[in-house]
Amino acid sequence: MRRPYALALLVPALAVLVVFLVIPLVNLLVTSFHAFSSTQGITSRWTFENYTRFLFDRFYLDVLVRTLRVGLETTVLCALLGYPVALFLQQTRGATRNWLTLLLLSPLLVSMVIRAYGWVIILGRNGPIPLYTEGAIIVGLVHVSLAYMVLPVLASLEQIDPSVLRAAASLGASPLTTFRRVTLPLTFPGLLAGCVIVFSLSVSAFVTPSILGGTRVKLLSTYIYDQVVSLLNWPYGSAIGFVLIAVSTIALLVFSRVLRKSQTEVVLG
Amino acid sequence: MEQGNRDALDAKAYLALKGLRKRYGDREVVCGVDLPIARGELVCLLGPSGCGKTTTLNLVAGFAEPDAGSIVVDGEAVERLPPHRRNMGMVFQNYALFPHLSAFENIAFGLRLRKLGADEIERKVHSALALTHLEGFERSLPRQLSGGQQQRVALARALVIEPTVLLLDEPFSNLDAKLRRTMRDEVREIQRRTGITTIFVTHDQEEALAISDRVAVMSGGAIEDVGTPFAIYHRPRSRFVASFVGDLNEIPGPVYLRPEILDVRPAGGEPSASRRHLNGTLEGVTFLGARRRYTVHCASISATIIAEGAGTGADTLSVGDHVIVEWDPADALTLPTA
Repeated sequence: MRRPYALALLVPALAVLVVFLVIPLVNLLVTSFHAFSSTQGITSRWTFENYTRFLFDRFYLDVLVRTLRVGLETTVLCALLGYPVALFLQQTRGATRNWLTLLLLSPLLVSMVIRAYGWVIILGRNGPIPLYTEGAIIVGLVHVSLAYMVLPVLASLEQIDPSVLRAAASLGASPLTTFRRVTLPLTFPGLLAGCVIVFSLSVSAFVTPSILGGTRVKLLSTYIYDQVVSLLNWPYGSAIGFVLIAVSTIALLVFSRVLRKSQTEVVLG
Repeated sequence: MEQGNRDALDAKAYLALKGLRKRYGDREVVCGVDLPIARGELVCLLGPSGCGKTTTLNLVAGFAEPDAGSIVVDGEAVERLPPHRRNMGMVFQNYALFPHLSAFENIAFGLRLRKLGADEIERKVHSALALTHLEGFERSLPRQLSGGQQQRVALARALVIEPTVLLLDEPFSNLDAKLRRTMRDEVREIQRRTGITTIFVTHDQEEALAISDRVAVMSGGAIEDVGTPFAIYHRPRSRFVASFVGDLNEIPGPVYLRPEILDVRPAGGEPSASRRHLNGTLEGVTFLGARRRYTVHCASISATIIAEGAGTGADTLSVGDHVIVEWDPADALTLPTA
């Protein structure tokens, strides 16, 4: 295919992204540098105060840390729970596999609100993981995100040539050693992709944290909602949003660096 | 094979496959394979796809467990050991290198598992690299190497652990024809130098004849014939073996004739008294470089005969000519079970 035609294929998706994502984001970024007054709304005065207010407020920084912690814990839990599921799925074939995949995706078939209220009933106030705690939020987030971890890991498991694993065995590697030295390093790209998706979804999730965290445990997305919808303070809400985007991007970069480093350690260790 | 003869062979065998059987579902894929192999010998398992040769190799390597029979290496039965306890080196058809490791680390993999010191690993890997002419490629990843180089890394990786037995599963079938011959000679040379007992699986009869000390021709899960390449080609035990290891003409008698013993000449002239002949019509000539291949239709026996002659000289025969196909009766194959 010649290049102009290839690029033409991108145009529809690109147009949607530009119109519905890039332009609104730029608009919000501009808004976040405007001052807000409770009597006049968004004023035309340019300012950094929305950002400085956030960054020098101990309360909001705590919320930010809590949001990142919940994201990280959800990601790690999804990886620990999802990897064995992917391994199991890889070894099953046919109808069993299709049913298990459907089961894995089933949380996504249910409306987020219904799913979260389901957890409200299951968790209760006096259970081992009571409602309105970080634990409750993490349970809800793991439930929705697990498939996003399993599928990329499964995809990278499927790419491994079975004779590579046999080669490892013939060279003296027990099944456990083969897993540690061959399978695990070869699935790092899938694991990394899964982590990026789950982390991004978790730190920006709104419905699940606001229902399962209630008024007691609030994450950043809930505060953004409060600012924008209840207080109509769009500039401050936008600023918080951009801080979240910036911080979670940095967190992802650090995270992938750590994963890659541990990959080389596994390989050489 | 006579019982006494077989016992004598078993006694001096370094690697012995005894009565191996393996069933998958309803199908018995390997049904009673007996094969004693002497120390340092290279034996080919040759056969069409589905004949059970690869399954037999997998049983030896430990990737499948036999339903019956045993595998003895140097007096020790190994058929119940998992593959990682057998200390056998294996080279796979698609190389099966670890894609995330450099050539050096691929070769060092087995040595690291054996907890050797860094100096010793370095020394052994470098001598394996030298043996397989891979000096300078230590740091390359498998995807940066050509097919032939990857197969050399795979071979070095299998040899460096000093395995009891080397197993080669169609190792050259992904290489182009010329490289395949080079690699074949190289592998044979390395195998001779290291003196390692080797089983080689292939469906390519030319490869099997060229590389082996002995060839075991398999069919339907059993070994149909075992012998030196010369014996297998010139004194095959059955029609199947005869036709699998080379082209074969069958004329009533039955008489079995290899194409290269047949001479094709224009009709007319005196037939030689000591030779047998058939009259026919030339249907086709294929020039193959070193040889010419003739297709002759013989109406008297309603059969088409394939003959081969030298590729030198100009074409004197053309399609449609009446020709005589001649041969020396002593050159015809004799099959004990025709």
